[in-house]
Amino acid sequence: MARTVTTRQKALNTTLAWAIGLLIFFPILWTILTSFKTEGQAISDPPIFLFFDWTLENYAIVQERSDYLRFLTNSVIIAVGSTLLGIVVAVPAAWSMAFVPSKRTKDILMWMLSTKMLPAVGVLYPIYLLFIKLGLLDNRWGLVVVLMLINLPIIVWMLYTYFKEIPGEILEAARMDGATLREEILYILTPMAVPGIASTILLNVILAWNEAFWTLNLTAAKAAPLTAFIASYSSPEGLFYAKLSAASTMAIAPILIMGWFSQKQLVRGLTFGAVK
Amino acid sequence: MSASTDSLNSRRRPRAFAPWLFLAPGMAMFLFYVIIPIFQSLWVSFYDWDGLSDAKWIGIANYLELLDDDAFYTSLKNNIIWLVLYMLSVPAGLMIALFLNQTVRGIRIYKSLFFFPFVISQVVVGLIFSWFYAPGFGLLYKLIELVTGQGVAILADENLVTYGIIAAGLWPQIAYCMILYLTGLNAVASDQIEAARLDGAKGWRMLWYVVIPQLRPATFIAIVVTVIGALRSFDLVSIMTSGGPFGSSRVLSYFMYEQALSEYGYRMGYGAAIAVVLFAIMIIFISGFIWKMWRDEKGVR
Repeated sequence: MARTVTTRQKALNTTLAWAIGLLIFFPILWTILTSFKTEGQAISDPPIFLFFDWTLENYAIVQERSDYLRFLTNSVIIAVGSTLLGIVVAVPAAWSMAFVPSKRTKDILMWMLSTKMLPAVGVLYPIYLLFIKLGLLDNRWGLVVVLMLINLPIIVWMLYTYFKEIPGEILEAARMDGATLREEILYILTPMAVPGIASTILLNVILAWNEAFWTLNLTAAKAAPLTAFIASYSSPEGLFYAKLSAASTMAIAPILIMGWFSQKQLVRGLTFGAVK
Repeated sequence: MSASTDSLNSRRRPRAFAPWLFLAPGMAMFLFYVIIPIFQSLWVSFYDWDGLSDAKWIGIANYLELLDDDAFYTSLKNNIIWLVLYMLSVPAGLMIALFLNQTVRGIRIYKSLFFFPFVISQVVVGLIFSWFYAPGFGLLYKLIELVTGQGVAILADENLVTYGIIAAGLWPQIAYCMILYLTGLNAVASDQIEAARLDGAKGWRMLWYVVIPQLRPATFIAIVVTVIGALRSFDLVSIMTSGGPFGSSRVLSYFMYEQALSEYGYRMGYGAAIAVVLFAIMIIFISGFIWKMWRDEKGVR
């Protein structure tokens, strides 16, 4: 959209654009700032923006009260585990859909995705009973399986859109040269699909990391991830907003850092690979 | 002759069979997690059952009770409000994206600002906003006080609470739609824009007839994800208000949770009936709508 704009107008646009951006980012910024305030300054009237006595005591207290590293470990195991398991199940399925499509393939895909729109609560109870029977309540591996299942439609969908972009002729050529199915998938398809698989993994790690409903309902003390860690600070009676901010900051920091460094892949992931 | 055909067939066979074999694990998981529980819920909805003792068949009594339950109508109404207001994030995201789709200094860092709200957990979103709404010192409370002269405790007000929670949910959702459209705008063909301009199209007409049709894939994803987001309302409701005050911010999924699984009730059958109604609504309205869009989308390609 080329248009001639005056310098002044451009400066105005830039300012306005940044203002919108900062407004969107503000709640996170405010949370991070508050985590360095004392409880008194956190609720002071009028609010203090930058000029307060920076302190780390909230972090110390939060760490003392609940073992951050244990929650973090659980989060990492659950998010990464469920994603990798999902990839193992989804790659073959997406391969079938992308390279051996039938008339119904796209409908099946849409149907799978549409189940994401059903409320999770509806299946909580059957899963809960199953978990009691199998002894999987408050167990990290049980959660890995459930979160894998929840995100599976999205993983299959994303991989499918990435695989579809790989020209079928290349696979055809490999087949002509006598490659077996295993070789075809392992040596031809996989290397070409790596960027797509990488963004799929990134997005799904984030989705699993943030999943609150299942993690809160199926875990207690042992397997609880960071979502449970923050939720435990939510008692509004206590008015411990600085500590709540510190806990929130600790919980979202890994994902913010990871997001910052993998933005490009993540944007493709967030758009489900359908928008370039 | 026949031997060579045979060997050809046996070499072919794994390839013909492979797609089905590859689909099997995914489909099996899917059956196990989605299809079976749905039928289980349907089955349980005809029983009176506390989850422990023997279930008693009571036919459609659960559904009849539901028709008479005020809480059901409140939840249903809130679900509709959620869905309608959430949809606003699609045009809102588009507007912001259109405005930002120009050379702004430091666009890369700038984009990330939009990107962060979407990657943080709904639990954090809910907590941050409850805190912003907190009477006395919450930032939004202060802002309202400044503008209207009187502070309002939004989360304690029966008529405002649902809107307050939705506002919290819209924050990451608008940011997401905006990223989606900004990415989509990169792919809009500039020669078509130029051609349309030469033909005298500008402003709204340009947007409506030239730009938006080209953003169709982005719009499709935006709507799908927004609908999913609106139905995830459970997380925010449970964290911000637990359905209160006086149940006024309940949505159907939360209502079901309260009846069947929370510490207040163990009415599995009743809960299951709510779930079935919710499923039915979803399948009829939303799936139907998205299905149609999907068909159109396929046709375009």
